[in-house]
Amino acid sequence: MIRTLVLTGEGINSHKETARAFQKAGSEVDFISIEEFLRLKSFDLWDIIAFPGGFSFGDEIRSGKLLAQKINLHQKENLKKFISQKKPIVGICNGFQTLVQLGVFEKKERTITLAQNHHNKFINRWTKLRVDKENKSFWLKEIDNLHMPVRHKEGRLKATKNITDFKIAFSYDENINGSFQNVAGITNEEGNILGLMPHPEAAIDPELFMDSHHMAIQNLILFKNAIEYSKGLRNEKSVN
Amino acid sequence: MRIDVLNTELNTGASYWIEGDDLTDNEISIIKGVLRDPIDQAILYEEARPNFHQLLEVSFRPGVTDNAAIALRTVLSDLIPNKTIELATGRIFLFNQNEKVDIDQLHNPLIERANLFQFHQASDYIPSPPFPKVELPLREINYFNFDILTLKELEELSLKNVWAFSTSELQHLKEYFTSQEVKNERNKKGLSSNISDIEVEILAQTWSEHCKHKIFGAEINYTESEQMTGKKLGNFQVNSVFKTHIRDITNTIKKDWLISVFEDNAGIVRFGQNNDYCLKVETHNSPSALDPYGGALTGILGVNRDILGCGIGAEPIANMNALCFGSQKYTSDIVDQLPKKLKSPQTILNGVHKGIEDGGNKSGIPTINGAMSFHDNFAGKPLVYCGTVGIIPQKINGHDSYLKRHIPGDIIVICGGSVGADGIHGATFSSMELDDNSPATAVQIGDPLTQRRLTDFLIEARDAGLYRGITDNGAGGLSSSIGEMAQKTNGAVINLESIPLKYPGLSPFEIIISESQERMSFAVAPEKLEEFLNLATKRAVNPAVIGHFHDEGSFDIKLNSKLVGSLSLDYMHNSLPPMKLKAHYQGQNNESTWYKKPAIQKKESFESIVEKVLSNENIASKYHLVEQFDHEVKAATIQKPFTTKEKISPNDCGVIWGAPFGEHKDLGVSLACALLPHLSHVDTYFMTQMVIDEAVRNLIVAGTNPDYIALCDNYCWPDPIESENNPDGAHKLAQLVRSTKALADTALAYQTPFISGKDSMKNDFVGFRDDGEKIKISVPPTLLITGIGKVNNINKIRSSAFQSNGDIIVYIGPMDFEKKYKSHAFETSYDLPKFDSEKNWKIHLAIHHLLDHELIESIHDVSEGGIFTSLVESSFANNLSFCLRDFLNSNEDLHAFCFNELPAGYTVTIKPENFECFRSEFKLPYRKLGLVTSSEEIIINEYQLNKNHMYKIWSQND
Repeated sequence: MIRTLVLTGEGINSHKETARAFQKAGSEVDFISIEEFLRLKSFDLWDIIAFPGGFSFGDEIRSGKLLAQKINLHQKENLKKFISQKKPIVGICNGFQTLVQLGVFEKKERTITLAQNHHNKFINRWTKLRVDKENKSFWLKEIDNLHMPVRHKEGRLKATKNITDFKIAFSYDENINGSFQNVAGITNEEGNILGLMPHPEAAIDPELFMDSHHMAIQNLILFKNAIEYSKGLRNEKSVN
Repeated sequence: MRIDVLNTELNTGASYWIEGDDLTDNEISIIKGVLRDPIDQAILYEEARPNFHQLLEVSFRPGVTDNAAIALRTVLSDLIPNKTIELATGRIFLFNQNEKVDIDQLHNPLIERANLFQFHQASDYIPSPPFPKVELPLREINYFNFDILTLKELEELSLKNVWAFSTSELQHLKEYFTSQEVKNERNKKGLSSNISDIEVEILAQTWSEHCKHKIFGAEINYTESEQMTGKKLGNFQVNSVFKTHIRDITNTIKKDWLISVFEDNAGIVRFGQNNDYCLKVETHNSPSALDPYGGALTGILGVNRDILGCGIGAEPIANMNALCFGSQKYTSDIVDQLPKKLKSPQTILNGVHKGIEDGGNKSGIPTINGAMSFHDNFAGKPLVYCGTVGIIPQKINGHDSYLKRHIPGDIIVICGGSVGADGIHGATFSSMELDDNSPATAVQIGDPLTQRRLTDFLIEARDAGLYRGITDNGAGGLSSSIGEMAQKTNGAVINLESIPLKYPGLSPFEIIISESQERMSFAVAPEKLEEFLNLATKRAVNPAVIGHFHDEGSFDIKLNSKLVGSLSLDYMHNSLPPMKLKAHYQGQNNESTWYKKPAIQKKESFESIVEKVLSNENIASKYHLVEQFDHEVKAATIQKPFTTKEKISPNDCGVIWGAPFGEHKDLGVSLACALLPHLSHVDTYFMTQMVIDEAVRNLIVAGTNPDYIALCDNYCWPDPIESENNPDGAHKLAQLVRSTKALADTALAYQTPFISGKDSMKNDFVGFRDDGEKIKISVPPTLLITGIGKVNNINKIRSSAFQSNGDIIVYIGPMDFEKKYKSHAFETSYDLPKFDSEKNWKIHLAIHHLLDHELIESIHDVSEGGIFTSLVESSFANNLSFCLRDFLNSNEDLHAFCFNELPAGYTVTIKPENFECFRSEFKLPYRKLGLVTSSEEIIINEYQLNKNHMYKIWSQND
C-alpha cells in the first residue's frame, strides 16, 4: 500500500484532516512530528510527503520560514533525493509557504515568495479554482474546476521574474488576495511538487459543502492522483 | 547588535536585537538569512536605503512575552549551536519629513515602548538602543504580625498590595491567625507565628470574587418596590443564587446524558457513542480593557486550557465568542468626552478582534459561533466572552475519562511556559473596579505556539496513560490550581525554587500567584515520572517537577527545603462565611448613558425605519469581522457562521460534525449563544427569559434535538454591592437575583440543565475627564447564555437562506403583535410582552418536528430587528426577494409587526407542494406571510424596497 508521511507538531494544525484525505483516497498515513522528521535517516519508507496547513513556529518572522530553515539544516539531502526520485510532495497553505521558503520550486535562486494579502487580512472564504490546462502534472489529471475554502493571511504569490521555473496549477476565479495572476497553487517544472494556498483536505466530504455536493469528489481526485501515480512509480521501480 | 528588516513594499518592518558571545561574520550572515525574505524584504542600510526622515521604533517592555523571539530562538539555537544568543523583537515604521506620526495608535504603552527618531536624512539614523532586559531587585519574603496590625492597617495593606480583601474577610483572617490553636499548629511545623506574604497572597487569590464567587454564594435578602412593573416575585431570602437557582435546577431536571456538571473546569455531556463533549465559557474583561489584543488572546487560550484540564484532559474542537463594545459610530466630540486613559471603542474592537483571530487561528481551533453587542455603557469596559467546546473519549485505557484519579504521593509536574511578573494579581484585580492606576502586570500576551505544543503533548501523554490528574493554571496561578487539586488528596507541597522562571528577581509570593500563561499542572504517578518527563522534553514543553500531593490536610510551600508557608485546606476552602447582602428592586429604570444623547426624532416613514434598523450596528452584517476567524480548520464545521453564495446570510448556530472525530456519520454537536443587554434596564427577569429563549431557538433552527440541550450561564454585572461609591448596589443585586430566578424558572420549563457557568461582578470603570469631572461607566447587566446540543441527523440541517422562488413564507411564534416594546427600531420602551414559557417550549418542539420531517426549506429566528430583519437576512444568500401582502389583522400595526422583537418567533419557508402536509402536521398558530420571489423588489403591502439597496445598507461595513 502507498504510504504517506504527514508532518505534525510545532504549530501545524491541519494534519488530521490531511491524513483523512489521503486515507480516504487510499493511502496509509504516518504522522511524523517535525522533531522526528528532522532526525530521520531517510525518507525511503514513504511514497508521498505532505506538509499540512497551520502555523508552524507560530508563523513568526515569516510564514513557513523557520520550519524551512530547520529542514534545510537537517534534511536537505534527503529531501533532494526524494524530489529527484519524482515522488509526490504536497504543501497546503502553511505547507506551501514552507515549500516556497525551502526554494523547491526554483532551479536556482528564489524567485517567488508568499506575501501578506493585499488587504492585509486573514480570510476564511470558499473560492472556485480554475485548473491550468497547460500544466500536465499528475496531480491535476482529470480535474476540472474546484471549489474549496481558503484560510490564510500570507497567500499572495509574488514573483520577481516571469515564470520559468515553476508552473501554475490553479488560479482563483476572482482576485481574493492580490496574488500574481490570481495564482492559488503551483507545481515545480517536473510536476511532482504541488503547493497551494486553498484547503482541498477540508472539502472532500459532501457534508461540508454548502451546495454543489458533487464538487467534493473532484477534490478527492487530487489526492487519488498522487496515489495512483505513486503506484506507477513503484511498478516502474520493480520492473527496473 | 540590531538588525532592521524592511518590507520593501511598505514602509514598515521588523527589528531584531541580537546579543551573543563573539558571533562570527558567517554566523551573522546565517542570522540575516533567517530574518529576511530575499524577494520582498531587505536589511535596512545594507540592502535598502529608502529615504525617510522619521523612524518609529516599537518594542516590548522588558518581561512582556515576545513570541517572535521565542520562535526564533528555537531555530537559531539549532543553526548556531554552542552559542547563547539573546533575542528581542520590535517593529519599525518609516515616515517622511512632514508626515504626522500617531504614536498612540501604533503602540500600547502598557506593554510596549515607542521611540520616534527624527533626522535630516536617513543616513543620520543610527540604530543602537539598549537590549531590553528585565531587571528586578531581589526581594525577600515579607511577614505580617496579625497580633499587632489593626483592622485599619490591614485594610491599607490590602489596598496597597491588591489583595482585594473585604473588611469582614480581614477580620476573619485576624481572628484565625491570632488564635492560640493556629499558633501552636504553626509552631509545631516550625513556622513563624507571623504570616508570610506567600500565605496571605494565596488566601487573597483563593477568596477573590473571581475564584470564589462570593456574591453567587451569598445570603441575599430580596425585596421589591410596590410600584414596580414586570413580574412580581415577592420578598424572599435566598441562600446562594448559584445553589438555589442554578445547581439545584440542574439536579431537578436530571438528564441521563449529564456526565459532570459544576465539578470540573468545564461541564461534560454525553451526546455521542464514543466521545463526550465539554463546554466552558469565560470572560476576560479587565485585561481586554487595558490591552485589547493581549486580553482577548489570553482569554481564548485560557478557556482552551480549561478544556485541556477538564476530566483527564479534553481536546478543544470549537471556539465561540461574544464581544460587547462601546458604539463604533461615535463622532470625535463624543470620544473626546471619554477619560483620556480609556481606549476608544474602535481601538478596543480592533485589538480584541485581532486577539480572537490569532487565539483561534493559530491554535487550529475553528471559531464556529459568536455574537457582538454594541451599547454606550460598554465604553468603560468591554466584555469579552470566550468559549470552547472540547471532545474526550468516554473511556481512556479502561478508565472513565471525566474523572481525575490522582492520589497522595503523586508528583506535581508543570509543563509549558515559564513564570514571570506578567499576570500577577489577575484574579484579585479583576475583582475590583477599573481605574486609571490599574496595574500593568495584570496584562499579558498569549503564546499560541507554546500552547499548541502543550496540547499535542497532553493528548499524547493522556492516551499513553502517563499521568493521573491534570488542571490548568489560570487565575491565581499555582496557588489556585494546586490548591484546588490538593483537595482531592487532602494536601500538597510545592518547592518554589524548582519552578522555572523567565528571569530572576521574582519574589517568592509572585512565583506562586503569577498567572503567566500556557502552563498546565499534572499529577504523575512516581513510576511513570521518567516516561512522562522524557516525552515532555521530546515535545519541547519544558517540564518541571515542583512538588507532590500528600494527605496531611495542608497546602505547604517550601523554599530550598525550608517550609515557608502552610495553610489548612479546610481553612482555605471552607471557612469563609457567606456574605450577607440586601437586594432591593426599584423597578424599571430609565437607561442612563455616560454622554448626552441627541433627542430622537419621532414619526418616521417605513423606509427610513428599515434603513435605521438594517444599519443599526447590532443588526448590520459582521461578516467582515467574522471572515477573519478560521471557522473550518479540522474540516468538521457543518453549519458555518454565514451561508455564502451569491451574497451572504448569517446563520444562527454553528454545528460540528461528529464523523471526523470517530462518531456516527449523522451526529452533529450544535453551539449557539445569545445576549440582550439592552433589555436589562427594562427588567432583568424578562431579559433572562428572552436570552435563554433566543439561545435555545438558535440551537433548534439547526435541527438540535430539544431533549439534548445544555446551557452555560455567564454573568457580567456592574458592582452589585452597595457602598458609598456605589449607591444603587442593592438595585443591581436585585437585578441579579431576578435574573437568576428567571434562569431557574425558564430552564425548568424548557428542561434545559446548566452544566457550567461563571460570573464577573465588577464591570465598572471609574476615572476622570480632562476637566476633572469624575465619571463612572458601568456595563449594563449582561447575561450570556451559551447552548450546546445534539443534532441527530446533520443531513436535516437547514440554513437561514431562502432556497427557491415560490416557496411560502410562514411566521411561527406568539401572535400578540399589537403590543409594542423596546426594539432597535423604536428607542422608547413600551409595555413588556407576555413571555409564556410553556407555550414557547411547545413552539420549539413543533419546529423541531417540522425540521425532522424535512418540511422546511429555510429557517431563521426572529430577534434584533424583528420579523422584517429575519426575512431580509434570509433573502440575501441566494439573491432572492419576498412579497408579503394582506397578512395583518385589522387590529395590528405594520411597524409593530415588522420590527417588534418578540420572544419565541421563527420565520420559515415551505415548498408549495409541502404546504398541505405542513398544515395538517402543524397544530400551533402560524401566519402565512407571502412568497419568496426572484424579483428585484421586496414588497410589503404598499411598500417597495430595492433588495440590492437593502443588502448595501446591511453590509455597509463588509
